[in-house]
Amino acid sequence: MLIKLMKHEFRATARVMLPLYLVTILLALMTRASALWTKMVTFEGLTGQSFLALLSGIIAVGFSLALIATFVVAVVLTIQRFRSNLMADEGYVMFSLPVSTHSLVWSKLIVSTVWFLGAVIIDIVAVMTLVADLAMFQELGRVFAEISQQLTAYNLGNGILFLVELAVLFVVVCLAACLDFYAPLAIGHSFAQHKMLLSVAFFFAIQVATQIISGTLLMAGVPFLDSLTIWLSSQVQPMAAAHGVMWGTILITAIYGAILYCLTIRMLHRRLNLE
Amino acid sequence: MAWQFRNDIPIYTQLIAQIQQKIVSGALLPGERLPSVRDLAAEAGVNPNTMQRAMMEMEREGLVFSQRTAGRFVTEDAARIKDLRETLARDQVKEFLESMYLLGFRQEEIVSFVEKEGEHHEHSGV
Amino acid sequence: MNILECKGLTKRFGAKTALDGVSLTIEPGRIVGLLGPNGSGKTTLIKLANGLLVPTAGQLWVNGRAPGKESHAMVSYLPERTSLPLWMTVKQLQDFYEDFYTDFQRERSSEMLDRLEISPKQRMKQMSKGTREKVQLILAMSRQAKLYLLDEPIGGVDPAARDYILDTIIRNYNPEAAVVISTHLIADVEKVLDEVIFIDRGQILFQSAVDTIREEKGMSVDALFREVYKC
Repeated sequence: MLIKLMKHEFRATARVMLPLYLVTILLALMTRASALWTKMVTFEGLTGQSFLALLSGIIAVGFSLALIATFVVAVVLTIQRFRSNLMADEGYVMFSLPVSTHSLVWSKLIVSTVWFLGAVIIDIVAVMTLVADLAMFQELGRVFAEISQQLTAYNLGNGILFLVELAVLFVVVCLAACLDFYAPLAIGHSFAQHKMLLSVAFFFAIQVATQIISGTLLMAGVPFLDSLTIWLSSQVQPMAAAHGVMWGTILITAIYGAILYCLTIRMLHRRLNLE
Repeated sequence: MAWQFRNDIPIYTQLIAQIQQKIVSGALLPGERLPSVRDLAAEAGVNPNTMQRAMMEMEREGLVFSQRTAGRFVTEDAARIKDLRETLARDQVKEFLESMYLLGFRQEEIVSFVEKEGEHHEHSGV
Repeated sequence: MNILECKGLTKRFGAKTALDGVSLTIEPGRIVGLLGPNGSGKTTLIKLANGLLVPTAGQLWVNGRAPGKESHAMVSYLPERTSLPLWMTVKQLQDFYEDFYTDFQRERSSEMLDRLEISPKQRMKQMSKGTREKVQLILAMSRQAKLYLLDEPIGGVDPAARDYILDTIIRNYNPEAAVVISTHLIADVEKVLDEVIFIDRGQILFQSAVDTIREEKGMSVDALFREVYKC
């Protein structure tokens, strides 16, 4: 059932995200093209020149906005889908389906994460489109050749592990970021009135609470930090410590996300209150 | 034929009365197969259980009978239908007479009145 | 087994009691009217039966199960407000129902849509409020559910469509299933009902067969309703 929910969630969101991705790539190509024509085409008179300059300027600004938009729209969609599909009228249909609340929430978490990942990939591809030329690929080839020369089992292993860690961290951060919005929306909409206002209030309340708690823990940890570092460096290799920091960050983010997830599910189970 | 319902008496008795009327008037012929309860209910716009109740009642009275697989039929007993026709007519007349007495008519007066009006009714083709 | 059973069902929203110790049973094969003025607790009862609210106290079973994803597979619910996603076309909605409900009969829904002249290519967004309500009702009635919970199904539609809806409910009759229709337009649905439940201020006033009311009181349920809830 999770797969079917995801299918419909993709259906609902792709009609926004895919055109946006397409526009981003198109704008990258146009920016590239405009750089070429300003070099090649020379117009008689000032008006032609300045018109071309203005046009390339607009395209360049549009492209920068599109790069940002891939993320901003993904975030807005994350919030809007949870709110309109679960907490507003459509919730009557969704919460009447023979699926668990967990599946409902997970389908949205996974689809949002995929769009965040998509935004990263599209933005990288777009920037590459913009700057790529023969010299760059030659340079890249040289870099890879150098890397492969220096590559030992030790470096390769660590390199791959770092990539895995980064990927896991990215996913966990995306999930936690979605839940940053889901939990306050679920709490705010359990009230009879001022649902959205209360959601916003709970969003900031949760953020502030998190800051205070993590701040307090950090402060409490400071006196032990030095001795801990000394002890750690005597015990483990620098590389292992780096991996440790990565996994530690992943774990803390995951715990934070899990708390928000439990909060969201509990509100949806016990305090669902559709208008 | 459209089904009509009054508000002050049970629906199933009204269903019985209207089906009886169809039988005695010949709109439903002796031995004719009746539509299913669900179709009849839909036609009359009533609850299927209410239609079922009306059918059971009429079965008990011997006006319809059901065969396990073939469905439900109007009775083939001509005497039973004739009997019903007279009973219904008698009820109508009784009711009519009571109203006429209330208006101060006497019996002979009523008879001649009915004859005269009846002729008029036929001529006007109603 | 009873299709719907409530015991001491209570729902409070803060200080306000929406439902107060409601106990009732609905047997298979029944078409039941849930009657009461606005704010009497009809919608709260239906939402509880569909698991959209959690009771403050008391219990409730649908075909022997507490509300949840198993009961959802057996319940066809028509909310009082249209709640289908507006961006979807009728065909996409049919896909949606087919995906999630194994008892959804697609052909049946297409037949009904055709009959009411609603094109499968149409988007919900482009439709009038009345047409949206019809689509939602058609989808709900195209399932072979155990329990149909119809919250104000005839409120906003024109008389012709209303007759068609009532006709659909009769033709869809299944002795194994029960239909609950919440409404305040009693005269229109009275003939279609077996029983009625009168509800007021969160409490059940009585539950009775339609013909029993007519027999004992010599008046229609509609007339009785007007008498009971006289201002």
